[in-house]
Amino acid sequence: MRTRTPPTWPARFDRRRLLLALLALGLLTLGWQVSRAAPSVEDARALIEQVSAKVLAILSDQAITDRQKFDALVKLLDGPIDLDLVARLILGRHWRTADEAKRQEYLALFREYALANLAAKLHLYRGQSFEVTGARVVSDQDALVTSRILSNGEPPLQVDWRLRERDGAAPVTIDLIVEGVSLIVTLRSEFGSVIERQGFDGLLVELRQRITQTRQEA
Amino acid sequence: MAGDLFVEIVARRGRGGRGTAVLLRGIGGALVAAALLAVPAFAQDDDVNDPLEPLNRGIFQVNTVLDGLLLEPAARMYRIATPQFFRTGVSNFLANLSTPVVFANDLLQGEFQRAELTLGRFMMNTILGLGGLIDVGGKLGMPPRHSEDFGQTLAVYGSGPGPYLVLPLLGPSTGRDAVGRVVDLGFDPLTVLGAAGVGIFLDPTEFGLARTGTQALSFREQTLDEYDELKRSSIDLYAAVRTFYLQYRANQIRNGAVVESDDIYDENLYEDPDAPVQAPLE
Repeated sequence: MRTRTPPTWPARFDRRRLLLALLALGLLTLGWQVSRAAPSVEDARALIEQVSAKVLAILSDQAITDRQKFDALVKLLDGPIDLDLVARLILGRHWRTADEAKRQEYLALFREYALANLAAKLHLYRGQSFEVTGARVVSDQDALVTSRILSNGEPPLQVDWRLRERDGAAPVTIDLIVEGVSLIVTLRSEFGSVIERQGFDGLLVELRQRITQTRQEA
Repeated sequence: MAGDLFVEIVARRGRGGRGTAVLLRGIGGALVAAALLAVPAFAQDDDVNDPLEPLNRGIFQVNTVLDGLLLEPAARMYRIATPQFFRTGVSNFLANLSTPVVFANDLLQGEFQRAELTLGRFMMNTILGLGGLIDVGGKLGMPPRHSEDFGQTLAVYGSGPGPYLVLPLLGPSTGRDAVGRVVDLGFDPLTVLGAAGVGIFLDPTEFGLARTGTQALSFREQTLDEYDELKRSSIDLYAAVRTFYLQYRANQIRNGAVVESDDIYDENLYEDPDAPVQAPLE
């Protein structure tokens, strides 16, 4: 009967275990990086499909008032769109020229501006339908869902949705690109132009004015 | 006519492959490098190439006033006075008339498949579609009509857009696109016939003017709602129209291909106060 000498075996065993443990750790880290590096296209696509179906259902509901439609849309879109992140991306390099108080004020105003615009746009819906045509990864954080808006007798409108993946959370929409025209690029250019001409406070003043005006007209 | 581009959005939607354009790019690059237009490309957002901004803003104001006095009310009348099928017919007819320009530029860009589509649609629509009033090709399942012009051809050959320009009456443009407009006139049989003094039914020059007027009216009507919405929501209409035009043209030049990655989506880029300011794209 052979017996292994206790001093050598455990030592060897430990080395192997250590190697295995390192390898496993390496694989895990790699796996984690891979999962971070590839946002889930399926999640993004499913989100756009589900949310758009609900939006269309709300918009085409004859039984509720515009006010009720608006409230339902705001409730629905609050999670799937990260308005704060959108607002920050729009500001671009001007974000860091503003202090914390100004930033918070801007974020609050941007939210009001977006909601006032949503309310004012409700009447534009005329029974258009919507279909998702594809989805793909476009950067280490983002997925792009492509879709078409179809209205009677007009060529289809190409609409792309850029979604950001976040660890363990549902993806959020950060940009809307209509026929190659991005909401973020457009507002960034516009807000940037106002900041350059009238300063950051000027932007806040303009936003406040536009919100009041839009509400009055509604 | 600040609505020039919105209109195009409704009227023409280009999509398709890149074809042999890549091959031509090398040859054309050398050709165009010599031209004035080899101005560095603008960065998409922070550093728009608009050296004439004060002048441009002035012309934009005048255009906006003229639009409000003439074109916009005319477009509203046109909408009220005519049924949708009539307006669709007019728009189809106008698009069919611009076929020679689109076809010539398809060829110049080496987009032979798209050239084939353009020509095929023209034949079908002209012969079966009452001289172009009906988009027979579209009804038979051809892809949506695409636009090409010499501004896009120059871009495919490597030219940057050059400075942003607001043209009196004509609206948003760039150095490159303004040159393109003039060259496109040369591809237009109406100009050629007009210059040769040939008239078949009508004097070609007068016909050309009438067509331009109808084009403006038709385009403005198609974009009434969108432009109203832009005017209502924007806090700097001039800047909004400028970026709209530049993005829309860039999209047309890419033939609708998607820009995948871009610094504008980097949420950390502007967080660190010591981070370098984004360099303008070259």
